[in-house]
Amino acid sequence: MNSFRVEMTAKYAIVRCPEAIDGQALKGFAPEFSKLVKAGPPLIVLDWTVTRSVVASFFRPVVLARQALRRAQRNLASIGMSEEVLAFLAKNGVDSIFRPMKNLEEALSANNTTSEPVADAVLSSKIVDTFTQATVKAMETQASVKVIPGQIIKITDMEDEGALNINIAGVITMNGRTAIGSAAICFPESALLAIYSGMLGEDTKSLSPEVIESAGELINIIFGQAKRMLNDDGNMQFEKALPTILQGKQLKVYLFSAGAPILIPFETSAGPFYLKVSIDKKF
Amino acid sequence: MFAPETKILVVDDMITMRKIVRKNLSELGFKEIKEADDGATAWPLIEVGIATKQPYGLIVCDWNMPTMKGIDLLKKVRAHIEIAKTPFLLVTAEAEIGQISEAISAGVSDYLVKPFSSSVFSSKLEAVWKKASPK
Repeated sequence: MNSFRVEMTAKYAIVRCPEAIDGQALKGFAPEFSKLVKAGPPLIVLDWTVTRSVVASFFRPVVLARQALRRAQRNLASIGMSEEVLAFLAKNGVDSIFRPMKNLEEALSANNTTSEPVADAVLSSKIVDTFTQATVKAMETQASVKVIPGQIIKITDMEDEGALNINIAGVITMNGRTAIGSAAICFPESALLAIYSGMLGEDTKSLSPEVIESAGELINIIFGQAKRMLNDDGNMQFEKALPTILQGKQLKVYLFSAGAPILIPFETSAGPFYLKVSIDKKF
Repeated sequence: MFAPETKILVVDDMITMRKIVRKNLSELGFKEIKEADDGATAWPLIEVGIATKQPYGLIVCDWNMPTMKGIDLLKKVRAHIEIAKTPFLLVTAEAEIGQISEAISAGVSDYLVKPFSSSVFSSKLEAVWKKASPK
């Protein structure tokens, strides 16, 4: 039967994943997984031994679960992953979210010996400053738009994000030797139109595919600079990455990282835009 | 500086950056500007230029593209006897030391780091031209 099975002990819960983690299997498992994350043992172990395929829609609930578990001083790990599944997760930049381990003993031992790494310690002020500087430079040099960074906001409640009125976001996955995370540049329409107009030196009044695509180029430029500064001066060794673009009304941008995301607001004459960053230690 | 009639190929997977480069080139007086969205689509255009005896006089190319990266297009150009000396400006958002060394080893004329202003673009083009000009 292609469904999840949960086995409970006092110290951990083992979730036996089905051969194919598809939409239907996820739908059936979602309420049980949610209960397990809200109130369950200290460790949730995903057992992938028989799993041969997984849909990308599994990433988001696991990212949110990792964030919720972290806040509750609990954790999640994976065992029995095939090379194919691991390669698929790595290709999507989410392998470390699932915390692959050799076997149950290693998962239990890692959970006992590692006091939860706190994302705030990884997302240090230096990293925040680096991304802030990179954003200011990108906007001022490439678009001739003056931007003023504001106070950093910690996002603990994702529901608040709708009020920011974000319509377009450029997102990039950051995969490094010691850290993994994501960064997104998030624009209300008016701010992106002003920045695009500045980049091209022409007055642009409506969102076209080209304007929307520019969010990808902007996060690419910002990450490129930040990456250079962090790699030259640190030991993160982030790899090259290609951006993706999101569009919608009152977008909520989920980042594929277990670290607590932060939001840096930037003010322009055409209204604010935001940089959202989440970085976590790589396991 | 390059003559205004110089045939220029701009290669970038992002339309925005192609438009920015085109705008900068147009402001400098260039009119013969073609665009390609990655190395793989650029190469057939370069081959047509060779076949028609009207090769590109300058290639401005992004590094990070999904299909045939800029560095690979550069190596392909440098390996082709008829166009090996084509001035090649590599545009990159990253420019770490290792990357710069790789570009220099592959024979890049110069590299331009994003974000860049119009004046930096112009001075890089000038530097590429000087490098390509007979002493």
